[in-house]
Amino acid sequence: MDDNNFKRELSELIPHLRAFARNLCSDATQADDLAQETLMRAWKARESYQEGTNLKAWCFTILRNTFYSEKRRSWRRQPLDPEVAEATLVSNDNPSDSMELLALRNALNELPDDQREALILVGAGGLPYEEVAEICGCAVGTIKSRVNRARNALAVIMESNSVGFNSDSSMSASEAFDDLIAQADSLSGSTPA
Amino acid sequence: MEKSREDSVAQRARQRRLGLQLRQLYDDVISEEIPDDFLRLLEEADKSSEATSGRAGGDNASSSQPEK
Repeated sequence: MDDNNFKRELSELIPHLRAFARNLCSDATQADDLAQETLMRAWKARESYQEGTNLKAWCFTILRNTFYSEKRRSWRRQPLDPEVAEATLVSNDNPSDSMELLALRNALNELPDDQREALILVGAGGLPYEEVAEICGCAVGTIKSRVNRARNALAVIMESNSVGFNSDSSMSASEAFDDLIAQADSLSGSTPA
Repeated sequence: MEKSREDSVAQRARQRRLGLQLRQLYDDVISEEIPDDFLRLLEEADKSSEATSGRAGGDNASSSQPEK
């Protein structure tokens, strides 16, 4: 692929690089730093990219390797400063909604690395298992089981953390309400009268 | 029995909700405008590689041959 085409296709992937990085890193500045580093590495390595293969998966592999190889650059495992973390989320009209997303980001950070990345790529990025397996360098079955374990762990973390919210905010009420609705919806279809 | 069935239905509902929120975390970033730095970085990298490899193919390829 010539440089101009490569540059164009690479720049179309920037939003995805940022989104993947944002969900791996604990704050937005670090995430963009990681995404930019990835962009530069991808550019420098462009000769080794095989045209016709999946450029997004190729770039995600670079991003992931960069993330794991440069631990010292504090991309990872920063304790989450609530204010910073909140600023990381885009402004949202619904305050309880963004509180929930903040709680989810916190919970994600508690997951082991391998489970977190699998869940981000499959659950958030919507990539097929096969691609994620390629990016993470492991078997498809491994990814499936990591995603399952991550989902279960996340549910448990969210559950236990929400206990803390219950006492003081209106959010817990709306959350409980949503849950009831969802419960009612799914019950109505399946229970015998 | 009834109770555990309700529990698992509620659990599925929560999982579905979790899935939607995960998507939102990702999609929120996708829909942000790309900061200028990104495109500038890429442009600069492209220019400097053209300058060093000498295969700019454009009109100013001849003049700039670095001494080193």
